Amino acid sequence: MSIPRLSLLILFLIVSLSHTVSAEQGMAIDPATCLGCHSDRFSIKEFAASVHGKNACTSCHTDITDLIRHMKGEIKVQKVQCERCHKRENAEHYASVHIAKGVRCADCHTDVHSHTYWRKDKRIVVAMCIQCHDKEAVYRKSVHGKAVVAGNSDSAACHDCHNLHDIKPVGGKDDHASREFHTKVCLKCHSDAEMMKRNKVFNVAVKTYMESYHGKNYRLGFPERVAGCSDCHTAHSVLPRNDPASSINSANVIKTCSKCHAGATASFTKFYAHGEPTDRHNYPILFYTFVSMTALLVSVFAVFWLHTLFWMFRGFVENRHKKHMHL
Amino acid sequence: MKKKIGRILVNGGVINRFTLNRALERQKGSGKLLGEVLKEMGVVTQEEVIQALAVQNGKLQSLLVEQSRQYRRFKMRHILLHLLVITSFLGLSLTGLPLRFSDQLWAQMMMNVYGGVANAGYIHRFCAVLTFIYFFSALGMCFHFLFIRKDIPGNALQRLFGPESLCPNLKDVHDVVGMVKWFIFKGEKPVFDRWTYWEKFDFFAVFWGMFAIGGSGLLLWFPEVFGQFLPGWSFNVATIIHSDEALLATGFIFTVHFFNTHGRPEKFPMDFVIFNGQLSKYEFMEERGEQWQRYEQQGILKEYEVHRPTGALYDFLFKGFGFLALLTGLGLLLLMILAFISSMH
Repeated sequence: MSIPRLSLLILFLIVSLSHTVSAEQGMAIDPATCLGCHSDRFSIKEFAASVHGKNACTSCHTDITDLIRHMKGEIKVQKVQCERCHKRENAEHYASVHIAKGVRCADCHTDVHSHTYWRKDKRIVVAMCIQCHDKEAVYRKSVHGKAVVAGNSDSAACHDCHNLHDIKPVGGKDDHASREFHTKVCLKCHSDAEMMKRNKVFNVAVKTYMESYHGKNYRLGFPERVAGCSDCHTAHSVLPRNDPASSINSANVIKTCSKCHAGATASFTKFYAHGEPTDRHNYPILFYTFVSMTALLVSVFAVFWLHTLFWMFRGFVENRHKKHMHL
Repeated sequence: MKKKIGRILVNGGVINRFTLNRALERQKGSGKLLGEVLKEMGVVTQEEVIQALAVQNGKLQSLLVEQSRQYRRFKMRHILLHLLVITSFLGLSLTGLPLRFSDQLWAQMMMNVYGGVANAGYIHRFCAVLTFIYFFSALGMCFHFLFIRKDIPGNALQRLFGPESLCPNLKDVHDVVGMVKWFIFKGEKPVFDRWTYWEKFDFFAVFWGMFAIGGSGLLLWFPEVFGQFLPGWSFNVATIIHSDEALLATGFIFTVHFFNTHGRPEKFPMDFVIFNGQLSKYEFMEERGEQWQRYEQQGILKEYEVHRPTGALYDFLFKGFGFLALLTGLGLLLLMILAFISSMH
């Protein structure tokens, strides 16, 4: 017998006589068996502590059905089909823009063998996305980004707007879906009064937007025609007004408005984008206009509706009288 | 005892009692028969006198005379102007109200019917232009009335506060008081002249409304232009004024004005005078008694007689249009009420 053949025979004997040879008895291959060859690939400790730790190797690497044939090189490890367990995420991912660009599970989830539960820590998501989307990394300087980095789980991270797996393309500038997206995603959190109060954020943004000309047209279903949240506030660089880099800072706001309103001047930009007519303290001009107009309406209607009601009855009586008189 | 001719004519609605009294005054010492005097005054026809005589002699039960001889109240330019007002007003309401009530389902549906908010916007601006047209026409007619016309007595100031004017005067104050008394059964219905106070109010409401809604509308139409010299918050103010004034206008027209012209028991279902400019003799005497007397005294009643009343096709088309407009307005009113109710939750 030749040396290779001999080695093979010895190995076969060792393997077949040890407790862990289960393939022949029809059961799954013990992970320890795989680690016999593959322990240099990853840390056993980390794997055991990972979310997949309680799985056997062949739970994912299902193609390894016959150990001998695998060791002979006849069965090779194929790409793992994550969807066997992760059905929902897979369905979402397959409807997303990522799959259209050939991005698959392991392209983002590079750490499958040591992957621990993210405990909804948004910083993990941000770190993940900017690996590829480095242009949007400016997000980390924004109000949202800074808050997330500081551990605030209320603040918006990538997936709050774009979802984790069900990511749709929104770069296309003027189509209805993109335009709608750029306002719709902000509404979820910014109309949550509790959340806004908790974080000391301007809490009538959504209400005043919806009552404005921009908001009314948005709500009627025509976001292509009017400014939405991100048109003025940007998508990834939301900054407070007093920040000189902010799109709504007085140094920059003319440029922001001019995107749609060609020829906007400094006085044009004095428009109250989120003016609240019932707020006497912050918007006295709007308040007094609102009060005067309401008073006008109420008084005119009060007088003339009373007049009409009285006339209705008196006229009815008169008519009846005339009918009876008419011979 | 033979029934008196004068009484027969009054009971038959051919003349009213004021006219009779004046005729009797004229008759004194003239030796003429009452019927002749009345014919000279231009307030009765030969036919009517003959019929009255027949009643007096027991040959006729009562006057068969049609009380519907027509007099001209509005000229064609008034009729056309009002048509323009209706059309533009409804156009503005149909395209503007869905914007104001954008949170309502009916608003979204209407916008889709127009093919989107942009189309609604074009229609709205087109109707706004029509509004400016009739506004300036009305201004022109005011100027003409005060300074050009020869058929009205007095100078500009006298005309302004005279009985033919749309400008409120002291008589309107008396009329309001009189109407209120009539409402509570404490007095007779006032006798009105050419214009009643509610008609004057209708006119002035639109007039004043033009400044508020037209002015704010222009600001909102050309924000970049006005933004050159006005502060941006003017657009916030303009939005409030425009929106509330629109609510006032539509609310008023679709309730009060519609009652005055369609809903009143004596006018139901439609006062057609604004569509054919014609007023029946009965209506003229009953509702514009002071004007009737004035014209009688001036001897100009005959000039206002309509010899060719509008025909069937004309009446049919205009009545159809009128009812269509009425239904549109009432429909919009209902939608607005729905919106207010749903917003109260």
